[in-house]
Amino acid sequence: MTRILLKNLTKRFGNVVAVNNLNLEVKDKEFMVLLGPSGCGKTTVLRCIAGLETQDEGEIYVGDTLVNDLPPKERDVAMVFQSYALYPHMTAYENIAFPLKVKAAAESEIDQRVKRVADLLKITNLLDRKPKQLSGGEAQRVALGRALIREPKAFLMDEPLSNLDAKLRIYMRAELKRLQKDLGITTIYVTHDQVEAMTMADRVALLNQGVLQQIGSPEELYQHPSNLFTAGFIGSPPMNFIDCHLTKEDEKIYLDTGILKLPLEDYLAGIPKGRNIGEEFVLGIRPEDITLEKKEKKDAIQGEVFTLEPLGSEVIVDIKIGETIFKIKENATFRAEVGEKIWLTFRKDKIRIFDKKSGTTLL
Amino acid sequence: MKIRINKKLLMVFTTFIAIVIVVMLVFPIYVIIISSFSPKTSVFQPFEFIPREITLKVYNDVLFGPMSRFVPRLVNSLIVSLLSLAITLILVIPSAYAFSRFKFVGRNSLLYGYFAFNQFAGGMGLAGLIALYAILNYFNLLNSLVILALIYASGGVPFNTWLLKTYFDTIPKDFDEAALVDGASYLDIMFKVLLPIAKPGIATVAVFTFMGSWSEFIIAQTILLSDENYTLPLELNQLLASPATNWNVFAATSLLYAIPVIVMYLFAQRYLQAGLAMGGVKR
Repeated sequence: MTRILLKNLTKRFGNVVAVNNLNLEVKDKEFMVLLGPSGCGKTTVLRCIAGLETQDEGEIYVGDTLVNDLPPKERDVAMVFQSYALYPHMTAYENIAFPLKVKAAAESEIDQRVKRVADLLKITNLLDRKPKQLSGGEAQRVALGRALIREPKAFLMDEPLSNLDAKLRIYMRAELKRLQKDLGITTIYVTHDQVEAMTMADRVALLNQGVLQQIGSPEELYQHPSNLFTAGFIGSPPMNFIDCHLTKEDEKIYLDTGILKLPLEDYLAGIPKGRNIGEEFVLGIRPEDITLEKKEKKDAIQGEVFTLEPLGSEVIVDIKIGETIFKIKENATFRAEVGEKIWLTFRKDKIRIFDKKSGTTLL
Repeated sequence: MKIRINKKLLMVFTTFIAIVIVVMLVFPIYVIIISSFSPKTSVFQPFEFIPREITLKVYNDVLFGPMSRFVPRLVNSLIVSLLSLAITLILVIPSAYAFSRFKFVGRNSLLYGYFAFNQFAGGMGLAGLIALYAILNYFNLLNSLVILALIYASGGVPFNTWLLKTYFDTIPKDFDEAALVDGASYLDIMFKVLLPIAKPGIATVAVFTFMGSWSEFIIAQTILLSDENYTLPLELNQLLASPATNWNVFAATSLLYAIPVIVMYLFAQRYLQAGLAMGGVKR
């Protein structure tokens, strides 16, 4: 049973707070992805767990052991680096064997285990090669092998796929996920790529500026973002946002976006009582929750086609309304000319409303 | 068309200059080589571009002759150079590793101290030499090959530490960290991971140190008092200083003296190639 528990973890570099009071529990055998933009502190968290950085405050448990003051080698975790960090003077075999060599394991045992791991990763034919003779994907597997051989309590992976080309990355994504499930080793995986996070994770912990934004299954984060940051970060293309404020007209209260007025009673649940007229909110809607019509339609908003981004299986249509650009997902068959007039309808049940000041999701 | 002629002329001119420079550089070496194979004690009376007579007698005399001092001097030179090389590597490798990888109290002051030492030590010249002589004399340490090796090593340690530290700095820390997580100790990291990667840097330090000790004259002249402790540069000087210099003997000794340097260079050349650190990390 290896769970990893972070309690009030804080790490500063000079005046910069890289990780701010992070609480996180990674369950046994779970594939947890730490997601966030560059500089959000996700790699720092990983390095604190590995023992490569010393936290300023808080506690780190690997299994039931408090590892705060333990050196990396006593934490029994293995790490895969973004650069792979394969020792250039050693063959793939020697690289994989290294963790056992420094433990002074018996040669026969080393040989047996290296071969088993190589077999598992299908790299038996590469064992005699030096790192510079390996392709990106092969080097990646050797690096994984070096992590696997110790049979550690947990895997820490720091953007391990980011140096691979797009095709191989998609392939390795599935491979890695399957391997993790087969081995049942608790894994923390750091990435800035939300597609990687969504496709691989059991749960995603989203970080921004050292602060945990939300933790949950990929679907939860997508469907129920807890704040503006999560809503904007998860999803490709991202959610469309429009600033709006409360207005009163004919004794009725509306959310006014400038291009669209939504009667508040439809959204009452999300807006706490006691809000004043003029108070500001942000309205959000995902690209797939807007439909386009070429003919004028009641309650639809008029815009003009700004550009089309065909993706093969679908097309992303950029629509300009006033100064705002909306991104909308359409079927691949959708055709329109740039500059053409078009009408947008929002799926009202999919509209999200956020508090502009705090960013909290209200609806 | 005009420009093309000018270009051609320029090429002819620069080639001519290059040839002149090469001849100027190679000519003395050529003279030394033909002298060493000449039975005559002086090649200049009269000078022969292509010698009429070639003999290996001089080499035989220098190496095996009854009067030969070459072999014992060679042994002295090798003792001093290899010892100073060993001392340098033992001191420089761990300190360069520490300077490159760890933060400790006084790290920067020490580094700048080393730098300052490099700048001033050479400039002290004669005063330093006299002081060195006085100190060694006081402690009765003159005329010792071991002491000479220690002086050579200590003189080179600051510069070589800087040099190797700079090389270690270019090796990504990912290697250290990967090894650390893999369960390696700091000694493991130094010996099993960084040293093999740093071979080019270490080879550079080794070549510098060996060549420095091998060719040093002034300090050796100052502290080595008796003939039997003389190193090869002092021997060469003696050959020159004798009233009737045998130029062919001097030439043969010079060429033999150069052989270890060439061997050392050829040996180190394999490692003097950069790029060994590439391949393990993707950037």
